[in-house]
Amino acid sequence: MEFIDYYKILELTKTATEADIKKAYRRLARKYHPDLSPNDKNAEKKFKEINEANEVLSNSENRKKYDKYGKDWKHADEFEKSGYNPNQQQNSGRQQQSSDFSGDFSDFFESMYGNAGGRSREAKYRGQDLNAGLQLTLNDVYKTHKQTLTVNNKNIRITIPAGVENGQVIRIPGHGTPGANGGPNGDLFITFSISDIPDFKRDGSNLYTNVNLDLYTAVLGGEIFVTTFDGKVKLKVPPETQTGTKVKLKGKGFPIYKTEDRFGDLHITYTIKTPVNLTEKEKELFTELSKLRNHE
Amino acid sequence: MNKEELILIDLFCQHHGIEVNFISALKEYGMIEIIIIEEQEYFSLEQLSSIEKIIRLHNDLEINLEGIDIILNLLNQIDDFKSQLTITQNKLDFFNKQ
Repeated sequence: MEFIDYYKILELTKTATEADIKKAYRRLARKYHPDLSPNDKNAEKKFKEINEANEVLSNSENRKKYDKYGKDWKHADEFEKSGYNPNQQQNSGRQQQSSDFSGDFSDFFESMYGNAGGRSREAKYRGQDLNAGLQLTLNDVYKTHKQTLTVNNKNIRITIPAGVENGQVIRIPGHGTPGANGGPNGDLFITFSISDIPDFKRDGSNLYTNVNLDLYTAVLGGEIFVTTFDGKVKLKVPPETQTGTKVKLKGKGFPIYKTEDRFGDLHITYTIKTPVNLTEKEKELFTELSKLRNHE
Repeated sequence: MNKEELILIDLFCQHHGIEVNFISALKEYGMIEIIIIEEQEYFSLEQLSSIEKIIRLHNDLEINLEGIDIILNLLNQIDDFKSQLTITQNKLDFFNKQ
């Protein structure tokens, strides 16, 4: 177990008064409280350290033991009885003792709870929040579906609502790290990374797509079939349609998040494809058409 | 509201070792809503995580209810800003792809 400098954690020196400790604890606890810095693992760790430091230094008996015995302060009574001197670094007995004292913060909390020195209302600690990323495509989030995720070797079945946004974070309560000493579990935060698919671009609940029109349909008008997320849709193309013409299909876009049966719009932009590899006859007819247009 | 979606306040206070008055004070401050059914007081399940957060802030940081109310409002604003930032980022990506 490494020596933990509680004074350093509270940004104090050994000469700090009780009032200094209280003030430093309050200031740092406000700064690093997990509820005020969600998703910040470092804040959560710091908050636990600050609490541990405060538990020891705010209790004058514990502080005295800590000042004298450092990391082994919890065994001060045993040392006192055996006449152990902490300043004799080469004492072989100490080496033997040290190996038994291994542990970390959670170890500390386990031993501290129920101890008369601890404040009972601080005994419960909420577990850490966990963060996970989930990569999906637009197809995956068009409909609400269930998916099983493995987080920290545990399988969690979650419902992914239709219309979830790229970069959106959803919270799964209680699926983070278990709380300490009966405290509540942390939460699981899932960040969605949703990629577009070929042919469709998404802006919120609206979808955008380009549709190629052959020259003849564009000039004379007609009917075409357009692929949407909801299947194929028949569309009337008016005569003399220009390239870049935009058409809006209401309600054929993407589902609106957590709003049942409501959808955005599908925006279509027409691109007119000029015929290639013309035959002699076609060239002749186009030339004739051109002459007609030029005489107008 | 379905009774399964409600939490009995007496039971909740017992579990957390807090006074029922504390929950009543939250109601007075307009921070929660209490539902009374057959003379028993409940709050809705969806308020649970928020109430537990209030208790932690109150106990851990000794913040009074006015302070907690301000903090919760600011945290909500931060959440809104984060959502707006995500939407804006997505819009920017959309136009960059054009």
